[in-house]
Amino acid sequence: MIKPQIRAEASSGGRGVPFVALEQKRWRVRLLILLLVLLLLVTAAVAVRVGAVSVPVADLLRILGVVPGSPSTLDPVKKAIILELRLPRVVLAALVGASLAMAGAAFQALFRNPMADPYVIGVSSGASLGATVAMLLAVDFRFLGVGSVPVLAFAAALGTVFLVYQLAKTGSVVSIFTLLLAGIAVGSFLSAIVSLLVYFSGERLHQVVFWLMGGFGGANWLYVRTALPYFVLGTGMIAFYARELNLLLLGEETAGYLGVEVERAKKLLLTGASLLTATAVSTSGVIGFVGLIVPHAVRMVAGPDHRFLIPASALAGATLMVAADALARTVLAPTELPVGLITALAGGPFFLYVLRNRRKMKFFS
Amino acid sequence: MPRVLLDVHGITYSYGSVPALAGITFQVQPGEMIAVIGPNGSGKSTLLKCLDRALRPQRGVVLLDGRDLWDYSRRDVARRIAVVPQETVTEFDFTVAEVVLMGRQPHLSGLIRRESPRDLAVAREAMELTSTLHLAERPVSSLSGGERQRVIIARALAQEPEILLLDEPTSHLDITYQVEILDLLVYLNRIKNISIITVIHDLNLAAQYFRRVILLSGGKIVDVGPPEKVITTPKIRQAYNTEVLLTRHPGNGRLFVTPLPRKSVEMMSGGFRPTVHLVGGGGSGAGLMEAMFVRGWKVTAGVLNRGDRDWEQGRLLGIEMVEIPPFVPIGDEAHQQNLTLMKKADCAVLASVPFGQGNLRNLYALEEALAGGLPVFLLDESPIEERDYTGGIATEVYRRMIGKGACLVPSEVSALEAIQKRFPPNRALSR
Ligand SMILES: Nc1ncnc2c1ncn2[C@@H]1O[C@H](COP(=O)(O)OP(=O)(O)OP(=O)(O)O)[C@@H](O)[C@H]1O
Ligand SMILES: [Mg+2]
Repeated sequence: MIKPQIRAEASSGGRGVPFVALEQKRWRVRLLILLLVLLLLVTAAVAVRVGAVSVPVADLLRILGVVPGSPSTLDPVKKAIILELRLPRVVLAALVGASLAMAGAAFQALFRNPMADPYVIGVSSGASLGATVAMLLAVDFRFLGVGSVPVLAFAAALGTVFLVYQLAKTGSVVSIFTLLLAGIAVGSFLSAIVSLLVYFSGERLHQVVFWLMGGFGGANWLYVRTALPYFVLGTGMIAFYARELNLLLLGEETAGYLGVEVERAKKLLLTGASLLTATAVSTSGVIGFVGLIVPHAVRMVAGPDHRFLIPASALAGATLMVAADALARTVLAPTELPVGLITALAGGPFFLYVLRNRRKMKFFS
Repeated sequence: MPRVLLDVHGITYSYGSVPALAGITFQVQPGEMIAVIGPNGSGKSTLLKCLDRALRPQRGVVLLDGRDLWDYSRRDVARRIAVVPQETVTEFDFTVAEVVLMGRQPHLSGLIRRESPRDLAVAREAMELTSTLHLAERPVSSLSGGERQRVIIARALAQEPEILLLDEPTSHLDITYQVEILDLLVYLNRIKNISIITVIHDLNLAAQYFRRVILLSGGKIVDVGPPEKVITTPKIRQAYNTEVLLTRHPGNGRLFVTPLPRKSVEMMSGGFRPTVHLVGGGGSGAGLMEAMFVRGWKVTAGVLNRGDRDWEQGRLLGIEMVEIPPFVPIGDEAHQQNLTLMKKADCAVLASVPFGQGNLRNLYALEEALAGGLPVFLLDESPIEERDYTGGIATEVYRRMIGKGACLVPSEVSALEAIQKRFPPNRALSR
């Protein structure tokens, strides 16, 4: 039987090897990811170095064990500042930045909505309420060595997600649209309660507001160690389901036709993204912008494939957060600015720049 | 006994309290091409969704190779059944190559689920078959409707399915693209032996491209079978509540469907619709039959031999006829039935049909009815002598009828006008 002649084919020659270009694009994106790794390392190194006490690069490398040498010749105070204060702070900022960016990318795909960010379904409002309650009632306990504020924030964040999820569920099906609306409703309600509490917070006002604006002031290795398992778990879930995120972008129905167990995928992705967000918010407060902007900017240069978008966003988010925190510490030193302020101030114009120059950046996609 | 690939057994589906399907049963054999037709909201999309495990019927089962579809995993179903949905989301930046590769999803395994060279080869072939290779690097969002549809079909083919389900793959497309897509389906069906079930709104395309048609209405099957059996005037009227004109396609002899606009049917027929009994045969009355039917008149016919062109036309239009086997002369019983139909009619028309011994009784029946007061119109396109193979008997009867007041009309148009004048739409005429 003769293959039917297709109109467009006749006019355009119909030649081409379909996946060569795709493969080339993928290599370019892999290169981009490598560049982002380097960028993160450089940014982190600079961030560790800057501050009230500055350390020469050679010493820094020696302290970090990158370059062999006898660290004992170094000033032990400087060494402690680097290893016990700045390094955990940089690592925590990187984890939080990566978490928010990955969660943002996942939520944007899940909701097929470019305005989605890690906080859409109320995680941040829940965490804020938990943290505010802990501070105002001066709840004082330690859980696995971590203070009451992050623990309550984390618990309240996950509780909120669970509540929103249950509200959006009919039978065994969760409508993404209902989830979004329920998240917004619950989020606004909880935010109102937080505002009310802030209004009556008296002498603790400063502490509460500062927490809400977000920052890495109290960071130490304990925070990093505590946050790490959740970070790994959440990242694993999203990374493992990156293909499903791509398919969900085609619509839930189509994803199902292509063999995706849609409800299970949604549930896992929601859990992973919420876990990352809750971890980020409970360790460092509500830092806006990163989770919304980074996935967009990365998508513009790296394309929509989540197998690349997720790691690239994580790296870009981490870099941005580390840089923002370094700025927050140093710009008005010794006064520390809230990191969220920096991310918004620097992220906004940067994003506009990317938006205006997206054609030049097509190199990667 | 041919293998049954898909066994749809008494499925019933309701959206909440809204019933959409009720007791649907049919079977699909490997390599079959089936069209699902029916009016909007008749449950076509719902049926397709039940066949791809997207919706679970409340009652009844769908068996794939004898096993309940719901005992398979989503992924296992996706390896065997592919779907081209009615609506597709395309607001994303994936390229055609990426989207087609996603069709390999159900076949990927391992932790990384990387596409193997074979996956790429299958996707490439799917693009070749659908002539989308040259679009590979284009973002799907930039394609035209027809190109996009072919890309979605390519993605479905990349699944290497045994069954391809399509929901209105040709709506939104111009006629060239419609034909392209259907030619493509036929081609895929032949060379890959893929069973194809597609919802299609165009009855002509359904009749031309498919050997099997399922007509749905109100969630029930009106009929299943070859288009000649399913697409008939009464069944279409029952399902769609619309009059259609059925004829034979001049080129390939397949069915040809023309919907009759309700307005024009009413306008042309006015308030009163005369019943006209047509005497013809051998195709002499087919044109007139169609023209009267289009005007909304009730048409009966007789006596006709089965297989005759006039008989064929009458069957397509679903009119009441007295019929006898081919090449058999008119017997007493048929003659009486013919007289009965004439008695019920408001007038009778004789087409320019040749007369022989076999059909002479049609002429006698007309003479008898004329004597009983029935207005008779004689369509006299060619002289009766030239059509008389009875040695003058037919001519003699014909002349007698003219003498007794039968009205001679020279052409089909004047026949229609004469009848119209005799039965004006605004007043019912007692005869
Ligand atoms: N999600 C839904 N919720 C409630 N009712 C629905 C839903 N989808 C379809 N229906 C109803 O079920 C019936 C069958 O719908 P279906 O979509 O199967 O019809 P269809 O034959 O495909 O129509 P069309 O030709 O317009 O595509 C209709 O009455 C419709 O209103
Ligand atoms: Mg439909």
